[in-house]
Amino acid sequence: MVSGTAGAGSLRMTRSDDELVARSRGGDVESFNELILRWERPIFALAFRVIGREDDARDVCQEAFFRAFRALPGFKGQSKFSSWLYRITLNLCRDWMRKHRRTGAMQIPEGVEPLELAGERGASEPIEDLVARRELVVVIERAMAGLPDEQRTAIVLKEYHGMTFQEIAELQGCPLSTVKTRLYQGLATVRRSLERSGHLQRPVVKRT
Amino acid sequence: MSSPFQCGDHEALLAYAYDECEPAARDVITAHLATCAGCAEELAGISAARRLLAAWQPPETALGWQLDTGQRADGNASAAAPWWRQPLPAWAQVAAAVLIFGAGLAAGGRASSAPASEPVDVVADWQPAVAAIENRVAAVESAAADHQALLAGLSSRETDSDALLRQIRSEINASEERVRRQVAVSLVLLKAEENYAQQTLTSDFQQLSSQVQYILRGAQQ
Repeated sequence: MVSGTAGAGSLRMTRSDDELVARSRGGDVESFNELILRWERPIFALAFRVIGREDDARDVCQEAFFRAFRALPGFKGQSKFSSWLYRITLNLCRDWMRKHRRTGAMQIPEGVEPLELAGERGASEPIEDLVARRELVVVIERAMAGLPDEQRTAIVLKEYHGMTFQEIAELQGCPLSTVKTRLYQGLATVRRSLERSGHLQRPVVKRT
Repeated sequence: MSSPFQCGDHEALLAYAYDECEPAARDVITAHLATCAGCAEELAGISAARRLLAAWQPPETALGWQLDTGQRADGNASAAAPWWRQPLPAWAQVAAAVLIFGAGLAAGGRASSAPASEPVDVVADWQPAVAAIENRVAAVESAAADHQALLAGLSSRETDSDALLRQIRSEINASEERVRRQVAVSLVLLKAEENYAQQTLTSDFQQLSSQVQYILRGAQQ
């Protein structure tokens, strides 16, 4: 694969994950750094939504890449690199949740500070819209925090990472039907929370 | 051939919502939804909840890690041979791999992919080193902000006392307005929290009441 030049505006050939992994296994650290750059945001997003805490999610994300780097010699390409990385991350999240569990659910996400809210506001966004948007996120975060870990993880993998039922089943090590059950029950709980808070009206379906 | 879909099959509706149905099953479900208000409502509820879930986004936090094997500053790279394949003990392999935090590690979450000027040795325990760096950056930023404020004040200083008073009053008014907005936002959020808690309690009470009534009816029979 021809390596392009870095720099804004120049044509750059994007190497596949497989090629970057092969180069990394051959001693090319920059290739692994490129993998980090490519996957750090999705991995952080996964950890954040599963754990619910920003700082701890960053720690988990960093540790996931560190473990992947150390285990790279043993990675034979039996699965996609991303799937392998997701599995490492989910295992770390599971370890974190076991360590920090108090009531059987993850900790309620950190609260909203007015100063933080003011910082989020767009130049022309009315304060009422900003507050409404933040309220919705608080309801979602609380609902997700109250779910069993496996239901929450299934929703995160499906809704925010676009995985198929089969891929989730492989990651969670369970049958396909179990994934669907977890997804349905989790979404039903979130839906009830959104209806109670008034963010969701019970749908009225008109027969045509 | 039997129908692949049974009315009320929530998991099949879920697969339909996520477009992971077999084509034959999809056609059957589509036809069923046109005549079954219950299933149509269930699907609409799932879809509506999914749309709202999209609002939950992770924070824009600083990432930008890089892997450094501790190569010399003069740029001389070690031989191309894969170093981790050598029979090194585990502690040596770990010592050879150091994670560097990007410049965007500074508080406030400014994203940056530029490498830090000083690599941090994280072999033993990186968290105190990270905290130290963050504190340093925060201190520098605070000092810079103070200097900026001082310069701004000096540049706008007026010898006319009335003009100076007007400026001071304007600053105070702006500050009061910011505080008023923050209080208003806090009050709105508190109210929203209270409403949510009340709705949750009401729902739980109704559920409990129904269960008690059910038990009493059973006892009376």
